[in-house]
Amino acid sequence: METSLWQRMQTIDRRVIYALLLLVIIVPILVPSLGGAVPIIPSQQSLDFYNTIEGLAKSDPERKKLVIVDGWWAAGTRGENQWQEQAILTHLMQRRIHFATLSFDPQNKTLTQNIAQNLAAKYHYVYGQDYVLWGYRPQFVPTLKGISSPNGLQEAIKTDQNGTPLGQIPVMKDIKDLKDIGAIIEITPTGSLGTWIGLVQGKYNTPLLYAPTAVMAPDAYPFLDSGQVSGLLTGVKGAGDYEQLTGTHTFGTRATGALSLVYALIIVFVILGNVGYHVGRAAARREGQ
Amino acid sequence: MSEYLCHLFAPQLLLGAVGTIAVLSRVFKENRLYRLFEHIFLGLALGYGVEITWTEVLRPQFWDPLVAGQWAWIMTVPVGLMFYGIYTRRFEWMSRLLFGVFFGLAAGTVFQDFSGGFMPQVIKSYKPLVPPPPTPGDHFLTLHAVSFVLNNLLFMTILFCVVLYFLFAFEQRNRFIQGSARTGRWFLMLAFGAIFGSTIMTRMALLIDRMYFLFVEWLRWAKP
Repeated sequence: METSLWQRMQTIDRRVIYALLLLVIIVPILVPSLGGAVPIIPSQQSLDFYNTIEGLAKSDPERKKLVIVDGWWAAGTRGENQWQEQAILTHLMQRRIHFATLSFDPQNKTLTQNIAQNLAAKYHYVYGQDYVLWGYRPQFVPTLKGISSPNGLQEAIKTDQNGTPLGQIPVMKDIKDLKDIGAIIEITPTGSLGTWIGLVQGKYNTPLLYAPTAVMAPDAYPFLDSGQVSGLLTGVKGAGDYEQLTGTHTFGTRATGALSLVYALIIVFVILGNVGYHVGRAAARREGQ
Repeated sequence: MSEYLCHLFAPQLLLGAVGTIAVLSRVFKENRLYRLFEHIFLGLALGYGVEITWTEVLRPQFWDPLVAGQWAWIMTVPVGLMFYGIYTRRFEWMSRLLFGVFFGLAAGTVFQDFSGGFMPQVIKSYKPLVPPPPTPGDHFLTLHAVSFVLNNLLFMTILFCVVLYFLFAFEQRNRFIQGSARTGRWFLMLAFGAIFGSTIMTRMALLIDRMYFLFVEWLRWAKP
Protein backbone atom coordinates (compact mmCIF):
# COMPACT_ATOMS: atom_id res chain seq x y z
CA MET A 1 0.00 0.00 0.00
CA GLU A 2 1.32 3.41 -0.94
CA THR A 3 1.92 5.74 1.99
CA SER A 4 0.92 9.38 1.71
CA LEU A 5 3.11 12.36 2.64
CA TRP A 6 1.12 12.89 5.82
CA GLN A 7 1.54 9.27 6.86
CA ARG A 8 5.28 9.54 6.24
CA MET A 9 5.26 12.60 8.53
CA GLN A 10 4.20 10.26 11.33
CA THR A 11 7.27 8.11 10.91
CA ILE A 12 10.09 10.65 10.58
CA ASP A 13 13.29 9.17 12.01
CA ARG A 14 13.82 10.80 15.40
CA ARG A 15 17.49 11.33 14.48
CA VAL A 16 16.39 13.72 11.72
CA ILE A 17 14.48 15.72 14.34
CA TYR A 18 17.52 15.74 16.66
CA ALA A 19 19.77 16.88 13.81
CA LEU A 20 17.41 19.76 12.97
CA LEU A 21 17.22 20.68 16.64
CA LEU A 22 21.02 20.81 16.91
CA LEU A 23 21.15 22.93 13.76
CA VAL A 24 18.77 25.60 15.09
CA ILE A 25 20.78 25.69 18.32
CA ILE A 26 24.28 25.78 16.85
CA VAL A 27 23.70 28.38 14.13
CA PRO A 28 22.60 31.24 16.47
CA ILE A 29 25.43 30.35 18.85
CA LEU A 30 28.06 30.59 16.10
CA VAL A 31 26.40 33.55 14.37
CA PRO A 32 25.15 35.74 17.25
CA SER A 33 23.72 38.31 14.83
CA LEU A 34 21.24 35.66 13.65
CA GLY A 35 19.99 34.97 17.17
CA GLY A 36 20.05 38.71 17.82
CA ALA A 37 17.54 39.16 15.01
CA VAL A 38 14.94 37.74 17.40
CA PRO A 39 14.10 40.69 19.67
CA ILE A 40 14.47 40.16 23.44
CA ILE A 41 11.66 41.95 25.23
CA PRO A 42 12.22 41.79 29.02
CA SER A 43 9.23 40.37 30.86
CA GLN A 44 7.48 42.36 33.58
CA GLN A 45 8.92 40.00 36.23
CA SER A 46 12.48 40.60 34.96
CA LEU A 47 11.82 44.36 34.98
CA ASP A 48 10.57 44.10 38.58
CA PHE A 49 13.77 42.23 39.51
CA TYR A 50 15.89 44.92 37.88
CA ASN A 51 13.90 47.80 39.38
CA THR A 52 14.17 46.33 42.89
CA ILE A 53 17.99 46.42 42.65
CA GLU A 54 17.87 49.90 41.12
CA GLY A 55 15.59 51.04 43.96
CA LEU A 56 17.98 49.60 46.53
CA ALA A 57 20.90 51.47 44.94
CA LYS A 58 18.95 54.74 45.24
CA SER A 59 17.51 54.18 48.72
CA ASP A 60 20.83 53.23 50.30
CA PRO A 61 23.43 55.69 48.90
CA GLU A 62 25.88 55.05 51.76
CA ARG A 63 25.83 51.31 51.05
CA LYS A 64 25.03 50.38 54.63
CA LYS A 65 22.95 47.40 53.58
CA LEU A 66 24.05 44.07 52.20
CA VAL A 67 22.43 41.85 49.58
CA ILE A 68 22.51 38.10 50.19
CA VAL A 69 23.01 36.10 46.98
CA ASP A 70 22.07 32.53 47.77
CA GLY A 71 23.01 29.81 45.27
CA TRP A 72 21.84 26.22 45.33
CA TRP A 73 22.80 25.36 41.78
CA ALA A 74 25.62 23.15 40.58
CA ALA A 75 27.19 22.17 37.24
CA GLY A 76 24.02 20.31 36.20
CA THR A 77 22.04 23.55 35.73
CA ARG A 78 24.93 25.74 34.61
CA GLY A 79 23.03 26.39 31.37
CA GLU A 80 20.51 28.55 33.22
CA ASN A 81 21.72 29.44 36.71
CA GLN A 82 25.32 30.39 35.91
CA TRP A 83 24.24 33.02 33.41
CA GLN A 84 21.56 34.33 35.75
CA GLU A 85 24.13 34.69 38.52
CA GLN A 86 26.61 36.37 36.19
CA ALA A 87 24.00 38.90 35.03
CA ILE A 88 22.82 39.59 38.60
CA LEU A 89 26.32 40.05 40.07
CA THR A 90 27.17 42.31 37.10
CA HIS A 91 24.22 44.54 37.99
CA LEU A 92 25.14 44.62 41.69
CA MET A 93 28.71 45.60 40.82
CA GLN A 94 27.60 48.20 38.28
CA ARG A 95 25.60 49.88 41.06
CA ARG A 96 28.38 49.34 43.67
CA ILE A 97 26.01 47.42 45.96
CA HIS A 98 27.67 45.33 48.66
CA PHE A 99 26.80 41.66 48.65
CA ALA A 100 27.52 38.32 50.30
CA THR A 101 27.24 34.96 48.58
CA LEU A 102 25.91 31.89 50.33
CA SER A 103 25.91 28.35 48.94
CA PHE A 104 23.79 25.41 49.97
CA ASP A 105 25.47 23.14 47.43
CA PRO A 106 29.18 22.35 47.78
CA GLN A 107 29.82 22.74 44.03
CA ASN A 108 28.13 26.12 44.09
CA LYS A 109 30.81 27.51 46.40
CA THR A 110 33.50 27.13 43.74
CA LEU A 111 31.29 28.07 40.79
CA THR A 112 30.08 31.25 42.52
CA GLN A 113 33.62 32.14 43.59
CA ASN A 114 34.78 31.90 39.96
CA ILE A 115 32.00 34.18 38.70
CA ALA A 116 32.43 36.71 41.52
CA GLN A 117 36.22 36.90 41.16
CA ASN A 118 36.11 37.29 37.36
CA LEU A 119 33.57 40.11 37.61
CA ALA A 120 35.33 41.71 40.60
CA ALA A 121 38.49 42.11 38.52
CA LYS A 122 36.46 43.82 35.80
CA TYR A 123 34.47 46.15 38.09
CA HIS A 124 37.29 46.76 40.62
CA TYR A 125 35.44 45.16 43.50
CA VAL A 126 37.61 44.48 46.53
CA TYR A 127 37.08 41.30 48.52
CA GLY A 128 36.12 42.05 52.11
CA GLN A 129 35.35 45.71 51.41
CA ASP A 130 32.72 45.41 48.66
CA TYR A 131 31.73 41.76 48.79
CA VAL A 132 32.25 38.62 50.80
CA LEU A 133 31.91 34.91 50.05
CA TRP A 134 30.27 33.15 52.97
CA GLY A 135 30.80 29.77 51.33
CA TYR A 136 28.99 26.47 51.73
CA ARG A 137 26.60 25.70 54.58
CA PRO A 138 25.27 22.14 54.79
CA GLN A 139 22.29 22.94 57.03
CA PHE A 140 19.63 24.92 55.19
CA VAL A 141 16.87 25.41 57.76
CA PRO A 142 19.12 26.11 60.82
CA THR A 143 21.10 28.65 58.75
CA LEU A 144 17.91 30.42 57.68
CA LYS A 145 16.60 30.47 61.22
CA GLY A 146 19.92 31.91 62.41
CA ILE A 147 19.88 34.62 59.75
CA SER A 148 16.34 35.65 60.69
CA SER A 149 16.88 35.71 64.46
CA PRO A 150 17.57 39.10 66.15
CA ASN A 151 21.30 39.90 66.00
CA GLY A 152 21.83 36.29 64.93
CA LEU A 153 23.30 36.67 61.46
CA GLN A 154 26.97 36.72 62.43
CA GLU A 155 26.42 33.86 64.87
CA ALA A 156 24.70 31.80 62.14
CA ILE A 157 27.38 32.33 59.50
CA LYS A 158 30.42 32.82 61.80
CA THR A 159 33.18 32.89 59.12
CA ASP A 160 33.63 33.49 55.42
CA GLN A 161 34.69 30.62 53.18
CA ASN A 162 38.37 31.21 53.97
CA GLY A 163 37.72 30.83 57.72
CA THR A 164 38.03 34.55 58.56
CA PRO A 165 35.58 35.57 61.33
CA LEU A 166 32.87 37.86 59.93
CA GLY A 167 33.64 40.51 62.59
CA GLN A 168 37.06 41.03 60.99
CA ILE A 169 35.65 41.62 57.48
CA PRO A 170 34.94 45.35 56.83
CA VAL A 171 31.85 44.81 54.67
CA MET A 172 30.25 42.77 57.48
CA LYS A 173 31.05 45.25 60.26
CA ASP A 174 27.55 46.73 60.64
CA ILE A 175 25.57 43.74 59.41
CA LYS A 176 23.98 42.20 62.49
CA ASP A 177 20.65 40.78 61.38
CA LEU A 178 17.93 40.77 58.76
CA LYS A 179 17.21 44.50 59.23
CA ASP A 180 20.62 45.20 57.67
CA ILE A 181 19.83 43.13 54.57
CA GLY A 182 18.64 45.12 51.54
CA ALA A 183 17.46 42.14 49.50
CA ILE A 184 17.78 38.39 49.23
CA ILE A 185 18.46 36.83 45.84
CA GLU A 186 17.79 33.13 45.46
CA ILE A 187 19.38 31.41 42.42
CA THR A 188 18.37 27.78 42.39
CA PRO A 189 16.95 24.77 40.58
CA THR A 190 15.44 23.50 43.86
CA GLY A 191 12.15 24.18 45.62
CA SER A 192 13.74 26.20 48.41
CA LEU A 193 11.77 29.38 47.75
CA GLY A 194 8.92 28.52 50.11
CA THR A 195 11.31 28.04 53.03
CA TRP A 196 13.01 31.39 52.38
CA ILE A 197 9.59 33.04 52.34
CA GLY A 198 8.24 31.17 55.36
CA LEU A 199 11.27 31.55 57.63
CA VAL A 200 13.00 34.74 56.46
CA GLN A 201 11.23 37.05 54.00
CA GLY A 202 8.02 37.53 55.98
CA LYS A 203 9.79 38.71 59.10
CA TYR A 204 10.59 42.26 57.91
CA ASN A 205 9.21 42.00 54.35
CA THR A 206 12.77 41.93 52.99
CA PRO A 207 12.60 42.02 49.17
CA LEU A 208 13.11 38.49 47.86
CA LEU A 209 14.24 38.08 44.25
CA TYR A 210 14.03 34.67 42.64
CA ALA A 211 16.11 33.28 39.76
CA PRO A 212 15.12 29.64 39.23
CA THR A 213 15.46 27.25 36.32
CA ALA A 214 12.52 27.68 33.94
CA VAL A 215 10.93 24.44 35.12
CA MET A 216 10.65 25.83 38.67
CA ALA A 217 9.42 29.28 37.68
CA PRO A 218 5.65 28.52 37.57
CA ASP A 219 5.83 27.67 41.29
CA ALA A 220 6.76 31.29 42.00
CA TYR A 221 3.81 32.98 40.30
CA PRO A 222 1.45 32.83 43.31
CA PHE A 223 4.22 34.38 45.44
CA LEU A 224 4.69 37.14 42.86
CA ASP A 225 0.98 37.87 42.91
CA SER A 226 0.94 38.12 46.71
CA GLY A 227 4.02 40.38 46.72
CA GLN A 228 6.16 37.91 48.68
CA VAL A 229 8.54 37.65 45.72
CA SER A 230 9.57 41.02 44.26
CA GLY A 231 11.01 39.83 40.93
CA LEU A 232 11.59 36.70 38.89
CA LEU A 233 14.17 35.69 36.28
CA THR A 234 12.84 32.67 34.41
CA GLY A 235 15.73 30.43 33.37
CA VAL A 236 18.03 31.46 30.58
CA LYS A 237 15.33 33.76 29.13
CA GLY A 238 15.53 35.67 32.41
CA ALA A 239 19.31 35.84 32.05
CA GLY A 240 18.85 37.18 28.50
CA ASP A 241 16.34 39.77 29.77
CA TYR A 242 18.76 40.88 32.47
CA GLU A 243 21.68 41.14 30.05
CA GLN A 244 19.46 43.32 27.90
CA LEU A 245 18.62 45.56 30.89
CA THR A 246 22.21 45.83 32.14
CA GLY A 247 23.67 46.27 28.65
CA THR A 248 25.92 43.22 28.81
CA HIS A 249 25.45 40.71 26.02
CA THR A 250 26.92 37.27 26.68
CA PHE A 251 25.53 33.77 26.66
CA GLY A 252 22.05 34.71 27.89
CA THR A 253 21.39 36.88 24.83
CA ARG A 254 22.61 34.21 22.41
CA ALA A 255 20.76 31.44 24.20
CA THR A 256 17.49 33.39 24.17
CA GLY A 257 17.78 33.75 20.38
CA ALA A 258 18.48 30.03 20.02
CA LEU A 259 15.63 29.20 22.39
CA SER A 260 13.15 31.19 20.28
CA LEU A 261 14.17 29.22 17.18
CA VAL A 262 13.95 25.92 19.09
CA TYR A 263 10.41 26.76 20.22
CA ALA A 264 9.46 27.70 16.65
CA LEU A 265 10.79 24.33 15.44
CA ILE A 266 8.92 22.42 18.16
CA ILE A 267 5.67 24.24 17.31
CA VAL A 268 6.11 23.40 13.61
CA PHE A 269 6.69 19.72 14.49
CA VAL A 270 3.68 19.64 16.81
CA ILE A 271 1.46 21.10 14.05
CA LEU A 272 2.85 18.74 11.39
CA GLY A 273 2.49 15.74 13.69
CA ASN A 274 -1.10 16.55 14.59
CA VAL A 275 -2.19 17.34 11.03
CA GLY A 276 -0.48 14.13 9.83
CA TYR A 277 -2.21 12.12 12.54
CA HIS A 278 -5.69 13.44 11.74
CA VAL A 279 -5.26 13.21 7.94
CA GLY A 280 -3.89 9.65 8.32
CA ARG A 281 -6.82 8.68 10.52
CA ALA A 282 -9.34 10.14 8.08
CA ALA A 283 -7.69 8.25 5.21
CA ALA A 284 -7.77 5.00 7.19
CA ARG A 285 -11.46 5.55 7.93
CA ARG A 286 -12.20 6.07 4.21
CA GLU A 287 -10.32 2.89 3.32
CA GLY A 288 -12.28 1.01 5.97
CA GLN A 289 -15.56 2.14 4.41
CA MET B 1 52.34 22.99 19.37
CA SER B 2 50.26 26.04 18.55
CA GLU B 3 48.31 27.88 21.23
CA TYR B 4 45.03 26.63 19.72
CA LEU B 5 46.09 22.97 19.88
CA CYS B 6 47.31 23.42 23.47
CA HIS B 7 43.85 24.79 24.33
CA LEU B 8 42.09 22.00 22.44
CA PHE B 9 44.01 19.27 24.28
CA ALA B 10 43.99 20.89 27.72
CA PRO B 11 42.91 17.89 29.88
CA GLN B 12 40.11 19.69 31.73
CA LEU B 13 38.42 20.92 28.54
CA LEU B 14 39.12 17.78 26.53
CA LEU B 15 37.59 15.52 29.17
CA GLY B 16 34.55 17.80 29.43
CA ALA B 17 34.10 17.79 25.65
CA VAL B 18 34.54 14.02 25.23
CA GLY B 19 32.19 13.44 28.19
CA THR B 20 29.55 15.72 26.67
CA ILE B 21 29.76 14.05 23.25
CA ALA B 22 29.70 10.57 24.82
CA VAL B 23 26.58 11.30 26.86
CA LEU B 24 24.76 13.03 23.99
CA SER B 25 25.62 10.13 21.63
CA ARG B 26 22.92 8.06 23.29
CA VAL B 27 20.11 9.99 21.65
CA PHE B 28 21.24 8.56 18.32
CA LYS B 29 22.02 5.03 19.48
CA GLU B 30 22.86 3.08 22.61
CA ASN B 31 26.65 2.57 22.57
CA ARG B 32 29.64 1.51 24.67
CA LEU B 33 31.16 4.98 24.88
CA TYR B 34 27.98 6.24 26.51
CA ARG B 35 27.97 3.32 28.98
CA LEU B 36 31.64 3.95 29.83
CA PHE B 37 31.05 7.62 30.59
CA GLU B 38 27.85 6.87 32.49
CA HIS B 39 29.90 4.70 34.84
CA ILE B 40 32.69 7.29 35.04
CA PHE B 41 30.14 9.96 36.03
CA LEU B 42 28.60 7.72 38.66
CA GLY B 43 32.02 6.93 40.14
CA LEU B 44 33.02 10.59 40.07
CA ALA B 45 29.79 11.66 41.77
CA LEU B 46 30.22 9.08 44.50
CA GLY B 47 33.87 9.98 45.10
CA TYR B 48 33.04 13.67 45.07
CA GLY B 49 30.23 13.11 47.56
CA VAL B 50 32.51 11.26 49.97
CA GLU B 51 35.23 13.90 49.68
CA ILE B 52 32.78 16.80 50.16
CA THR B 53 31.15 15.13 53.16
CA TRP B 54 34.54 14.99 54.84
CA THR B 55 36.03 18.35 53.79
CA GLU B 56 32.89 20.50 54.00
CA VAL B 57 30.84 18.84 56.74
CA LEU B 58 32.57 16.36 59.03
CA ARG B 59 36.01 17.96 59.26
CA PRO B 60 35.01 21.61 59.89
CA GLN B 61 31.91 20.87 61.97
CA PHE B 62 32.97 17.78 63.91
CA TRP B 63 36.64 16.77 63.65
CA ASP B 64 38.34 20.18 63.91
CA PRO B 65 36.38 21.31 67.02
CA LEU B 66 36.93 17.86 68.54
CA VAL B 67 40.74 17.89 68.19
CA ALA B 68 40.77 21.55 69.28
CA GLY B 69 39.55 20.39 72.69
CA GLN B 70 35.75 20.47 72.40
CA TRP B 71 35.46 16.86 73.53
CA ALA B 72 31.68 17.00 73.95
CA TRP B 73 31.40 16.51 70.17
CA ILE B 74 32.35 12.85 70.72
CA MET B 75 28.83 12.37 72.14
CA THR B 76 27.40 12.86 68.66
CA VAL B 77 28.97 9.54 67.54
CA PRO B 78 26.85 7.19 69.71
CA VAL B 79 23.79 9.37 69.06
CA GLY B 80 24.39 9.13 65.31
CA LEU B 81 24.96 5.38 65.56
CA MET B 82 21.49 5.02 67.08
CA PHE B 83 20.06 5.52 63.57
CA TYR B 84 21.53 2.16 62.56
CA GLY B 85 19.38 0.45 65.19
CA ILE B 86 16.70 0.31 62.49
CA TYR B 87 18.48 -2.73 61.00
CA THR B 88 17.93 -4.95 64.09
CA ARG B 89 14.69 -5.78 65.89
CA ARG B 90 16.37 -5.57 69.28
CA PHE B 91 17.65 -2.00 68.90
CA GLU B 92 14.96 -0.63 66.58
CA TRP B 93 13.59 1.52 69.42
CA MET B 94 16.84 3.51 69.44
CA SER B 95 16.32 4.74 65.89
CA ARG B 96 12.66 5.57 66.70
CA LEU B 97 13.81 7.95 69.42
CA LEU B 98 15.89 9.92 66.94
CA PHE B 99 13.26 9.81 64.20
CA GLY B 100 10.74 11.13 66.73
CA VAL B 101 12.98 14.07 67.58
CA PHE B 102 13.58 14.87 63.92
CA PHE B 103 9.88 14.55 63.03
CA GLY B 104 9.06 17.00 65.80
CA LEU B 105 11.69 19.48 64.62
CA ALA B 106 10.58 19.17 61.01
CA ALA B 107 6.88 19.49 61.87
CA GLY B 108 7.50 22.67 63.88
CA THR B 109 9.51 24.17 61.03
CA VAL B 110 6.94 23.19 58.42
CA PHE B 111 4.19 24.84 60.48
CA GLN B 112 6.19 28.07 60.73
CA ASP B 113 7.08 27.78 57.07
CA PHE B 114 3.45 27.20 56.06
CA SER B 115 1.92 30.00 58.09
CA GLY B 116 4.59 32.48 56.97
CA GLY B 117 4.49 31.37 53.35
CA PHE B 118 0.85 30.66 52.59
CA MET B 119 -1.24 32.91 54.83
CA PRO B 120 -0.36 36.07 52.83
CA GLN B 121 -1.41 34.17 49.69
CA VAL B 122 -4.74 33.18 51.19
CA ILE B 123 -5.37 36.80 52.19
CA LYS B 124 -4.37 38.08 48.72
CA SER B 125 -6.70 35.56 47.07
CA TYR B 126 -9.66 37.75 47.95
CA LYS B 127 -9.38 40.40 45.32
CA PRO B 128 -11.62 43.48 45.17
CA LEU B 129 -14.11 43.68 42.32
CA VAL B 130 -14.54 47.44 42.76
CA PRO B 131 -11.84 49.56 41.07
CA PRO B 132 -9.60 51.73 43.29
CA PRO B 133 -10.02 55.55 43.32
CA PRO B 134 -8.79 57.05 40.03
CA THR B 135 -5.23 58.36 39.77
CA PRO B 136 -5.20 62.10 38.92
CA GLY B 137 -4.21 62.70 35.32
CA ASP B 138 -4.98 59.16 34.14
CA HIS B 139 -6.08 59.49 30.52
CA PHE B 140 -7.27 55.87 30.30
CA LEU B 141 -9.38 55.91 33.43
CA THR B 142 -12.26 53.78 32.15
CA LEU B 143 -9.95 51.29 30.45
CA HIS B 144 -7.87 50.82 33.63
CA ALA B 145 -10.98 50.43 35.76
CA VAL B 146 -12.52 47.85 33.39
CA SER B 147 -9.25 45.86 33.12
CA PHE B 148 -8.90 45.90 36.91
CA VAL B 149 -12.38 44.47 37.42
CA LEU B 150 -12.03 41.91 34.60
CA ASN B 151 -8.63 40.73 35.83
CA ASN B 152 -9.84 40.22 39.37
CA LEU B 153 -13.11 38.65 38.22
CA LEU B 154 -11.18 36.17 36.07
CA PHE B 155 -8.87 35.39 39.00
CA MET B 156 -11.78 34.82 41.38
CA THR B 157 -13.65 32.66 38.85
CA ILE B 158 -10.61 30.44 38.26
CA LEU B 159 -9.96 30.20 42.00
CA PHE B 160 -13.59 29.22 42.65
CA CYS B 161 -13.67 26.58 39.89
CA VAL B 162 -10.32 25.01 40.84
CA VAL B 163 -11.12 24.89 44.56
CA LEU B 164 -14.50 23.35 43.71
CA TYR B 165 -12.78 20.63 41.67
CA PHE B 166 -10.86 19.59 44.80
CA LEU B 167 -13.96 19.37 47.01
CA PHE B 168 -14.36 15.61 47.39
CA ALA B 169 -16.29 15.71 50.67
CA PHE B 170 -19.67 15.38 48.89
CA GLU B 171 -20.92 13.96 45.62
CA GLN B 172 -21.13 16.66 42.97
CA ARG B 173 -24.66 16.19 41.59
CA ASN B 174 -25.71 19.80 41.03
CA ARG B 175 -25.23 20.78 37.38
CA PHE B 176 -23.74 24.17 38.30
CA ILE B 177 -21.21 22.56 40.63
CA GLN B 178 -20.41 19.82 38.10
CA GLY B 179 -19.87 22.40 35.35
CA SER B 180 -17.72 24.63 37.57
CA ALA B 181 -15.59 21.68 38.70
CA ARG B 182 -15.13 20.56 35.08
CA THR B 183 -14.09 24.12 34.15
CA GLY B 184 -11.66 24.03 37.09
CA ARG B 185 -10.14 20.87 35.66
CA TRP B 186 -9.67 22.62 32.29
CA PHE B 187 -7.95 25.55 34.00
CA LEU B 188 -5.65 23.08 35.73
CA MET B 189 -4.85 21.43 32.38
CA LEU B 190 -3.96 24.84 30.94
CA ALA B 191 -1.65 25.47 33.90
CA PHE B 192 -0.01 22.06 33.48
CA GLY B 193 0.53 22.84 29.79
CA ALA B 194 2.28 26.11 30.71
CA ILE B 195 4.42 24.25 33.26
CA PHE B 196 5.34 21.66 30.63
CA GLY B 197 6.39 24.49 28.30
CA SER B 198 8.72 25.74 31.03
CA THR B 199 10.11 22.23 31.45
CA ILE B 200 11.02 22.15 27.76
CA MET B 201 12.69 25.55 28.18
CA THR B 202 14.96 24.16 30.90
CA ARG B 203 15.90 21.05 28.92
CA MET B 204 16.66 23.09 25.81
CA ALA B 205 18.64 25.69 27.78
CA LEU B 206 20.85 22.91 29.15
CA LEU B 207 21.39 21.56 25.62
CA ILE B 208 22.16 25.06 24.31
CA ASP B 209 24.72 25.47 27.10
CA ARG B 210 26.41 22.18 26.16
CA MET B 211 26.59 23.27 22.51
CA TYR B 212 28.02 26.61 23.65
CA PHE B 213 30.66 24.73 25.64
CA LEU B 214 31.59 22.52 22.68
CA PHE B 215 31.61 25.09 19.90
CA VAL B 216 32.58 28.32 21.67
CA GLU B 217 34.48 27.43 24.84
CA TRP B 218 36.25 24.33 23.49
CA LEU B 219 36.49 24.56 19.68
CA ARG B 220 36.45 28.39 19.71
CA TRP B 221 34.50 28.56 16.47
CA ALA B 222 32.97 31.82 17.65
CA LYS B 223 33.90 34.56 20.12
CA PRO B 224 32.55 34.11 23.68
